[in-house]
Amino acid sequence: MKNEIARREFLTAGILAGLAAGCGRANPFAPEDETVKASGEKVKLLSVDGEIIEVDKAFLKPVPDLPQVSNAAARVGIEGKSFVMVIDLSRCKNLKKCQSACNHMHQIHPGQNWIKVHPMQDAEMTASYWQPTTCMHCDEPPCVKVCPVDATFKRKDGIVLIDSDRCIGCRFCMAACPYSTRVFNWEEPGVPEPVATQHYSCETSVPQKIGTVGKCDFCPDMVRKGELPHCVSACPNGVFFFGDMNEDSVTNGTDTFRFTELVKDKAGYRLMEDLGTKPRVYYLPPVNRNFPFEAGLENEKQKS
Amino acid sequence: MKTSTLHLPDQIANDLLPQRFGRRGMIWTALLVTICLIGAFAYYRQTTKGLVVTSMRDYVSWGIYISNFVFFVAISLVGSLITAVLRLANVHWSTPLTRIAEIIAVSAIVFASIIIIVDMGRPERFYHLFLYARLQSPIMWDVIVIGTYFFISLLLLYFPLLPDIKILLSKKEQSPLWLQKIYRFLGSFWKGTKQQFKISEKAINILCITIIPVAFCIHTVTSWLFATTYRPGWDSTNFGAYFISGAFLVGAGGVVVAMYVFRRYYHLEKYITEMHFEKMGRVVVLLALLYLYFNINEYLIPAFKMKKPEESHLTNLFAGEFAPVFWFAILVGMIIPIVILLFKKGRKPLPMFIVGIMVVIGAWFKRYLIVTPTLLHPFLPMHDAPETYYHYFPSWEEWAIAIGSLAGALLVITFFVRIFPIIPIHETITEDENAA
Amino acid sequence: MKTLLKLVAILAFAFIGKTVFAQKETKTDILVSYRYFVKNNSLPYLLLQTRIKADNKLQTLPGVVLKLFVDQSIPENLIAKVRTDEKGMAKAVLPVSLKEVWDSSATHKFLAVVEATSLEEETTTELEITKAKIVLDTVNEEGARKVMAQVLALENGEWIPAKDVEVKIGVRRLGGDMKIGEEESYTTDSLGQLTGEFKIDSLPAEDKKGNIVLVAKTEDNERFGNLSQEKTVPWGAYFERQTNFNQRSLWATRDKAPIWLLLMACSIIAAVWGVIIYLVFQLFKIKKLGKRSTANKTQHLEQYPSPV
Repeated sequence: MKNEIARREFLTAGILAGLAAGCGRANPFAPEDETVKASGEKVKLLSVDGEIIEVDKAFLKPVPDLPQVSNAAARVGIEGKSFVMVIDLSRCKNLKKCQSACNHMHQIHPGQNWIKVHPMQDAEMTASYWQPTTCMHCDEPPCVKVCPVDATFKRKDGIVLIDSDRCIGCRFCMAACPYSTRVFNWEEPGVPEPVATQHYSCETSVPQKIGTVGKCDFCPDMVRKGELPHCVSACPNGVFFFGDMNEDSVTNGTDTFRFTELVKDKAGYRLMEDLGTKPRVYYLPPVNRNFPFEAGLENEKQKS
Repeated sequence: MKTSTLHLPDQIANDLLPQRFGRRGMIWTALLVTICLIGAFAYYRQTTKGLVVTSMRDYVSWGIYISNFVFFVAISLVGSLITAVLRLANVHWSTPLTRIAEIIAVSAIVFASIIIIVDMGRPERFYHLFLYARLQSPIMWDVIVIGTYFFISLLLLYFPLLPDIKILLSKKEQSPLWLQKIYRFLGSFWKGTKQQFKISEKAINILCITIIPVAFCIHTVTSWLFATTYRPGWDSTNFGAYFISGAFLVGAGGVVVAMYVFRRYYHLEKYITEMHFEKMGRVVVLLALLYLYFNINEYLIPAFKMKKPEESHLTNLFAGEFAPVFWFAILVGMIIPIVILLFKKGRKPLPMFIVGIMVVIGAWFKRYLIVTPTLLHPFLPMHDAPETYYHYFPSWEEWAIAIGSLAGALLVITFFVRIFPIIPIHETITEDENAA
Repeated sequence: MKTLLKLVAILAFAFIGKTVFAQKETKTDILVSYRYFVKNNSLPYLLLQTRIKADNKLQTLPGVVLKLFVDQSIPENLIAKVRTDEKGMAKAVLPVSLKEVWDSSATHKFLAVVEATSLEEETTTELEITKAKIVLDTVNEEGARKVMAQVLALENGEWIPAKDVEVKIGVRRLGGDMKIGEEESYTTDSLGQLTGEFKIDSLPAEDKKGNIVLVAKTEDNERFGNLSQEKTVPWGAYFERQTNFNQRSLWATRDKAPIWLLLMACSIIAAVWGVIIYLVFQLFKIKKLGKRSTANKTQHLEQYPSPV
């Protein structure tokens, strides 16, 4: 039986595959990050013109096996990058797809969330809106200042990570964070088997460990592969924009904007600016809303 | 002629020797040991299941373990107050109280460290604090100061103890063999020569001078665990002085309670006289007034402004969920003691004992009020978390461990009293001869 | 007779109806997204994603086995047998064995067959592709930077301009391509050509020469699939990457603590612990004095201490 499906339906879906799979070099499968090791084994393939080309087998996998990032490298960060996120509040409908994707990919203990979507209203007369809150990856992070053992640290690329092998569970960072973005593993996180025994890296933040703190990590493992953080790709409304300040661009997977222009044109702001934490997450005010605030309420009732 | 305060040195020594526990002592010790064992069992549950056995969750991530920690650090300041400050001020009536103060201080500091390890999510990684120490962190400052204060207090306990050990050794027939072994190990080298006394006196003086800034540091740094954050109720420049004045108050209250108990149980009426209670009463009322002053500054001024994040926190304290505890702590911890102690009759031993207990209990709840309510008023709404995360009432394991730690501190004091004289014998004799 | 016919009719309808309805009951819709990619006119490859409708929501379906064919679903034309990963995705490239089939025509039909199982029937998804390429060139005229692209399709062995093809032109950035002007996309004219003006001023470049990578691409074009062509041009501006990672601060690692903090803390610790160590030495001194005076036999006289 024939099944003809309109291809347009899938334009917004599965974009990652198209973006991820190699660009820009003579070998179309060479990944952006050159740390993928060539296996030495070559495969013969057909080109468009019917020519025969040899490609290393390691580059053919949909997701290349990157060599494990050492703890020392994870503490320094990706060279030359300066990550930033822009969240467009006018597009958020409280679908919480960002939340479920993040929770699933990081195997977070059920009930806890690294991304929280808050119903906000700044003043009595002003707009109600949904505000997805991730870790702000502040440039002057109060959490890093108070950690007694360097278990949480600020990297060159702007990301603030947690080393669950170093953390002693004092929870001072949780008290210090004004955005209340950190969660604690009060009991065994219940990570299922193949993931539970895999090699732990600060960049994947998987598996989470009992008695340590966890939070949004801007998915540096995805960025190393040339992909976007899970929340960015999961949001169907394109609320999250992620990018590099050194390239002056942010993208939500569909649209790519010049970061400085976007934040200026749409009057972007940061949360609790007056505390002086210098966050790296900018918010675009909820003007010209795509959905009314009430549209997000149905998801709230379901969840509770 | 000689006054009636003169006693023979021998009689003083006999009166002040540590005595065996009678039936009441045994019951008291057994009770404390039981409480400690229940606490130990609760901690065993915590180490196997994780901190989930407590009621602490992502919002209230610090609970009564931390408020207990602050309470212990506060009480430990009494050593510096009674022993050092009063001694340096050449006050002589406080001499009998110095050892009580020091042992409370040492015991409290030890249990402060223990309760902090209990609060850690990964206690087996305690050595990380030394291997990966990060000097920028207030916790690191706290670790350093607590360690330093412990050693200084220990020395301040030990030096004045040396002459007393000699007296104890000379009264072999009145102490069991195992105690004699301890005395010999600790102080058989002390002969009481002029040279030894000279060194010892100088050392004690140096310790008294050194311990005061260290004591100030210890509680200021502990207050900075809160004051270095942005949260409403913690974001205050007042915290260092506020905590220290509270610490002196609760320490003085603790000493008063101990004074009464030892006086009554060991029949030390001649040494801890009504004059001592009178004088301590004045000290306590002064400290209580000072603490009340800091409390007014701490609560009235933010309430005057009612900044948005502080608004819900303060309203909650004054008239909301925490109002009963708040007003209890203020009244029982400060105001009623002040009122009682302003009258001469209130400074008699029994009323003072009750006031001491009120001060200590009020102080414990005050520390609880410093830690928990603030955490229930974060800047961003409490949301997207299980409902249990929005409240906090300690679980039975938390209560067991907290009360167990208090029992443990009392147990250390109890054992100390069994082994060493609770009132310095040598100094009492010296003071007495000087008075003649 | 009439009643008999009626009965047969009813039975016939019932039978047909049952088959139709039965199919709807047992059929679970596996939706297959089938896309063709060529980057820089080099190696073509196929990307698939399988999803399933559950609870009115589309969910990715891992572990689906698909057989991919060229033109006909016969074993000789098998491209690859793939299994979708945890995100429901699979990728395949053309093996050398299919060279003759591939060269035989400019247009091909790709087939993806999901085999029949107890729950599902065999489903085939088709994708028809004509070989094409994009030629990308740039021109700098009177200070205005222009990008020219031409789409050529293969027809009878010759590259013929393709018209009315929607092409997007952008600058490659992290995770996406930034459009060079105001237009979302451009359409080729009768000559298969289009021109776009590069309007981005001082875009941070990848190296000191100001190099940025221009990308021209078709997105899921009905005839040609996903073509893309890149070209490096020195139209960006170089900015020195700054980071204060190596500076001393309160939030840096332990080896980069601020000097004022180090000085204050170390001097206080040294002073206090110096005193403690001195006092411990004094204690040992007392101990030594005690041992000496034992030899002097003054013990008896010193039973009660004399005032100092």
